[in-house]
Amino acid sequence: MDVQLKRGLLDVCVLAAIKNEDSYGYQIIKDMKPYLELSESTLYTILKRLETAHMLTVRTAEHGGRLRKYYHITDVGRARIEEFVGEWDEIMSIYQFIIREEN
Amino acid sequence: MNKSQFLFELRARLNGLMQDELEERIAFYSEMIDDRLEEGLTEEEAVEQIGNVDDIAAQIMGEIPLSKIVRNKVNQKKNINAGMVLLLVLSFPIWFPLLITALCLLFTFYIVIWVFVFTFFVVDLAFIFASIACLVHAPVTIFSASVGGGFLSLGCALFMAGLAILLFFGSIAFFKGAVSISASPISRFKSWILRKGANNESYS
Repeated sequence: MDVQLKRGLLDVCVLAAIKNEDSYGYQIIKDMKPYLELSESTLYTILKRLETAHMLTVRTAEHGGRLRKYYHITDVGRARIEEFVGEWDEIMSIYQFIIREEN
Repeated sequence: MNKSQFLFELRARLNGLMQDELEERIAFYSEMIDDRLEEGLTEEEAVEQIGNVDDIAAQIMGEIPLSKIVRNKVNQKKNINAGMVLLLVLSFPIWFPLLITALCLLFTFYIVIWVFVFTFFVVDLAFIFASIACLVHAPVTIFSASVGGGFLSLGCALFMAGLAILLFFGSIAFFKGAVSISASPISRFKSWILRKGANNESYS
């Protein structure tokens, strides 16, 4: 898939993975697995990018005698998901244009 | 490979990173492995799922800008002791000319490549002009001087137009080749710095 397109899509996917409840790295990868294969290093980069963009916050909590990072979506992050869904109609109409029958 | 081996190998390969960024990444992978262990996987299985340590390190270093790596390397070098500084100053007459030579060679390398590409385009342009000139010359000759000479001119025009088109695609191919060759010393330099870093790590 086109790198730029995939990057934008992955950002929203990760936001969607934490929108209902806070989640952690491995859980996000497992949740996304049926839809797309995500490597650890890719996820790390996305999480960093989203954190820098204030779309999520990070919290470190103890779990089973060790530390685990939990990611929490912010209002900016939720707005990004809504924006993406809003853009979807536009994307679909472009898609229709691309696949239209040749005359 | 077990968990600690994996993290050790990864740490060695990410030596070019800032200290806190390195720790954060190592912690991230450590957490990822621990979460898999919790699911009942063995350390070996968990590490295997994470992937090849060389590929991971290459991907991470590929994402980080060269300028950041170099800056960090320079910062690390600030810790070197006075003896090293003295040695560096005293050996200045040796390494400085060598450095200049290396830079000159690199510069020459670029010039040679790009002159080559430039020449191709110039020759192509010459063919185009010659073709146009012959094309103009042909009808003039046919009507004023000799019909045979005119058609010879027309033939030349078509021949050179054909050559120009072929050469154009050749030039484009050379241009693309030159672009990738020009980029390769930069990526080599990047991996060289990283390799150096990894070696230092294993010595200390």
